[in-house]
Amino acid sequence: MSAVEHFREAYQSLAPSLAGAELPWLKERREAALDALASVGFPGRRNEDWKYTSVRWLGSDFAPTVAGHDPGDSIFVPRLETRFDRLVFVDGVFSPPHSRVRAPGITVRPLHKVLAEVEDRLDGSPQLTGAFAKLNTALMDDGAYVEVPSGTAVEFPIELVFVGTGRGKAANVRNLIRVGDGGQATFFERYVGLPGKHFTNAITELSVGEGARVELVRLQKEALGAYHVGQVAVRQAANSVATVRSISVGAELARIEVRVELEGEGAKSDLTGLSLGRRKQHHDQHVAVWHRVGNCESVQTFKSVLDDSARGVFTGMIGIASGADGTDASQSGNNLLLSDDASVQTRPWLEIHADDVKAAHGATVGKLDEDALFYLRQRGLSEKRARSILTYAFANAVLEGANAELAGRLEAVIWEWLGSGEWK
Amino acid sequence: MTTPLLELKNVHASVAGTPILKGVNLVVNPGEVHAIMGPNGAGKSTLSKLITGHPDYELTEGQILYKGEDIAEMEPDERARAGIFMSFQYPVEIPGVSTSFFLKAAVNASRRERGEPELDAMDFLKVARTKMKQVGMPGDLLHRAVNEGFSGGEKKKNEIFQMAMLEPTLAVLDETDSGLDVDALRTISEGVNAMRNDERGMVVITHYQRLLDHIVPDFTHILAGGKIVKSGGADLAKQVEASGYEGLA
Amino acid sequence: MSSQPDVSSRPSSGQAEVDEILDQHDEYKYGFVTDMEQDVLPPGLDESVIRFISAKKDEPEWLLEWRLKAFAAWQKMEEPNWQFVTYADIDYQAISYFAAPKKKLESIDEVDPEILETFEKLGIPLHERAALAGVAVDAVFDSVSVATTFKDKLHDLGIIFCSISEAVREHPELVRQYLGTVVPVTDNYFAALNSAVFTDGSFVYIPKGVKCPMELSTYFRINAANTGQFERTLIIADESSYVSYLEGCTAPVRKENQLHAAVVELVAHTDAKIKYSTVQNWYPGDKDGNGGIYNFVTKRGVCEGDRSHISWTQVETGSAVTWKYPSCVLKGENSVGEFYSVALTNNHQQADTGTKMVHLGKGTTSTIVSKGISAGKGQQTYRGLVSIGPKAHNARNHTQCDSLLLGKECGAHTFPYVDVRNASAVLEHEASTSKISEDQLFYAMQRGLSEEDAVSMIVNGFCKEVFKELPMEFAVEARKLLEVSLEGAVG
Repeated sequence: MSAVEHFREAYQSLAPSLAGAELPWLKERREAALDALASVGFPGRRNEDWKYTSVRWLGSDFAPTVAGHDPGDSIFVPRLETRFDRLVFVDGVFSPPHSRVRAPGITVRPLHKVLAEVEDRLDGSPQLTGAFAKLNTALMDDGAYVEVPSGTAVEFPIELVFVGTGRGKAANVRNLIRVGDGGQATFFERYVGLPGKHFTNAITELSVGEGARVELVRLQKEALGAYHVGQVAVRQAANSVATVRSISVGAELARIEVRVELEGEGAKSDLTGLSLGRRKQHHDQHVAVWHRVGNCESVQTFKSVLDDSARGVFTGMIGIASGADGTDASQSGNNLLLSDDASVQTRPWLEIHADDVKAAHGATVGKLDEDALFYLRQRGLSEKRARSILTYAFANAVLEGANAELAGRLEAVIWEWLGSGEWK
Repeated sequence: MTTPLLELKNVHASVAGTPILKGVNLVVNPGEVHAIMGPNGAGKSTLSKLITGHPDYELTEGQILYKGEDIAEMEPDERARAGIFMSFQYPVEIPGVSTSFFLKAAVNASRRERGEPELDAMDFLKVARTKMKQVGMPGDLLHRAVNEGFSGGEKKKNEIFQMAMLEPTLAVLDETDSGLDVDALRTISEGVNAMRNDERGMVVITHYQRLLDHIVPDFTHILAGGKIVKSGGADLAKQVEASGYEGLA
Repeated sequence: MSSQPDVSSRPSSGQAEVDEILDQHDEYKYGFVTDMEQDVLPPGLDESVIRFISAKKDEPEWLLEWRLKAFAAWQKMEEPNWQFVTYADIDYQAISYFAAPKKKLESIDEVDPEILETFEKLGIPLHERAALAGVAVDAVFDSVSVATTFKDKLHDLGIIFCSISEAVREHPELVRQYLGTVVPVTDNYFAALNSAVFTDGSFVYIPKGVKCPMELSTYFRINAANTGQFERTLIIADESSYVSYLEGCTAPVRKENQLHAAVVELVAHTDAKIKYSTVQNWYPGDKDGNGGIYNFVTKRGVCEGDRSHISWTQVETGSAVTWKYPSCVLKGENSVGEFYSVALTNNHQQADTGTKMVHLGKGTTSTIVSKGISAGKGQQTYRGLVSIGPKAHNARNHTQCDSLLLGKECGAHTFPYVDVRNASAVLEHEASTSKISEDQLFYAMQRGLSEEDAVSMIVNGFCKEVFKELPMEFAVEARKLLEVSLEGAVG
């Protein structure tokens, strides 16, 4: 059975129990999405967007989850970070015992509770056109819903944790986040999992109001058997500042897409990504920024470090629409290969339809700098240690300016990767 | 007589197959400062890279003994932890690694080797602050990435500061004076002089005599065409200043 | 915006004047039609057409078989659509696949004076002037090679420079050995089509150790209406040889689009160097986007031997739609590939061009310098692949892609692909996008340059890195072409 047929069948049997089953508009939308999926199919190699990442693994192995799905008794419980509000989802299903929300003045709820109110906002991001977005719309059951009202600054990061149990489930997660005009908030979206095979298909729709400041840190640290397709779709209003930091460490195969639409003048977008791959991992980072109006700024800083026979893919797009004068856009993609068998495919792209713009990109592929290595060793550091330090230095540029509450944890992720060769 | 700190015996060396050093003999005893002078292309930098074990430099003939032991097979970091330090002519920039992190890692690597307890962050900072003052290095450099965006003078001060922190037994200063103004030259020289003692040997490599006005060597050697062509005391350097290398070779 | 004077609103460069300049220069200088008797096959394509072409050219059986195989493959292929260009569907049955001057030619003296005149108009030093200019010319008129000058002198050195038809007759072993080895018949849709129907083109063989003492040159021209031009060029540089080859192209003004689907194959053996320069000035269509050439070309060289070297230089100012990626397959150890390109799109022109550098051997290096200029409603895309194979230890690539935008309605796009499968590789890719700043213009104009001259000067500066790779005569021509193609594009 093809993956498309598999998910259609799954939909047919799950439809009555999917969140919002009572909402006619949602049912209609889910079925339209299924039809769209059936007509385009999952991307093959001839699809330029997916040229270097195969989805043959998808098959018909993964069973979509719905509320009421029993995660079993021995699930992994992440350490509770006391100061952070957070929502925890297990195989895509909200887990009240692990969640808590205390911050005043904001709404942080599981999406399935508020579906009736989000008709206009669900799928409100023009970027969500691909097959995995359609699949998500058809089968999504839950996710986080966050509303930061205008003028509200949230002190601590809001944590959204998604746990995969490695039991062959397909979690179609949908997060809807809106930060109102002048609001400020930081989100820490993290994907972790138990050893085993599962499939996460997560979408975060982030809407950033005028003058708002938002940082979204996305950590993909699933277990090795996992397959992860994640999309972050951001829309920015005038004078807003959005930072999206994506760190991808885990999973057998991970594809992370960050797509930003700059819709109001004076908006600034700072996008960074880091992929750390080893063994036979396949990490695909995909970033696209479209400057729809003038006088916005965007910066893309993406890195990948690949060891063993890991494979890295980076596609970066700066798009500047006709009339978007005064755009200042830059993009860098740097790749570090630590092993002879590692490989990387990188596509730093520009599509420019306006003339009064600054747009530049640079991409490099290389190994560790021999002079720097010798310098460190001359100071008495072992070759292994020197390599670790230089690799860390290469990687940690993507943490620059990170929320102070999170920076240390992200640094630890890099060190852990460098140190043990394993993540726990 | 004590064992020499460093002994080069008929050292031949090449880089990428090209012979550079063609039979260098040199003995440095504890407490001695040796100046190596010579025109461009004489092989001065090759000498320093060879002593510290740079992988691109190949010893093709002869021996390098450190404290009486052949170090030809030792890795660069093993040599460093054994007490050999080089001040780089061109210190390498390492974006993303703060100087304090880097140096603490280096200091502790050597301390572990010697069986001494590692310094914790507080102890390290205390020692670092003192030593930074000695070499006139601005305090904020400690928190910046190693050499990144440092001026020429700051980079060289950072080298001498690291030397002070690592307290090597043998210090090789490779063109430490290049790119320095008069004030920086004096500060750095003072830092080096403060480290002179009966145990420590130094090899000071320089193109110009002016550094040797500040760091007065016990011996001076002229390196030309891959060999030491003349040796003498501190006054040999002055002779070079007066008549150039031509007359000496 | 800056407080500098707004150049575009100055009375000296008002819209009327700009229009006038546009009109003045919009004329395509090479847009005449040569009036002469031609042997033209009726439009359409099937096996009989291929048999006709092959028979007309007295080809051996193996070549006919080769063509038919290519045709069979082509019929099963789909026209590619991934390139960043749009054009009306091509009706392959509406194209005539063979057009030749009626008279059969034995020597240059027999060349129709009308054709010679055409080439004179084009400024090609065919006849005696060829000798003076030190250029050996093989001129391809529509599909047939009309004359090859300078043959004797080259012959003394053992150099073979002739039309590919002649090569098939005179040197079948060489043609058979190399034809289709660099660009296999099934490589892509247009290469397959070309393999099936190619009518002529140039053939060059430089023997071991010979440095070709003069630039070899081919000039292509599409004359007949409703014809496609499918020329095939094959250049082989044997061990330690050197050749510099120049190619120029023009076509008359016609309302309909015309298809040009050429294949160029280069083979460089150990220590050999091939330098291939193109100035492409096919008719670009009028300023509303009517007519013009579809220039869909496959050019590829293989650095077969160690330390071999292939260098592509192209100046692309013509054609309505250009789609080509002159490429290097770097097989030999320490072999070198280079690609220098200036592409200009004005009015409704579209170009999707770049290169592929395929590193297979140890120590291979490649350099890519691409300068794209987009004006009017032109759409310009750099698309390039740098691929480092698992055995290509210590491979190096440096890529520089710069775009210059002149006007609000044009586009400049950069789509590089980098595929690295060896950790010892070092690659750098840089790209920038800019426009001519008002400060630059004002500065130049304050020193007395006209706006046109100032723009031309700045654009020439932008392209300098590429122009310096061209042989002298070509560099001058390229600069002129750029000026003509650009004038009036600023405002």
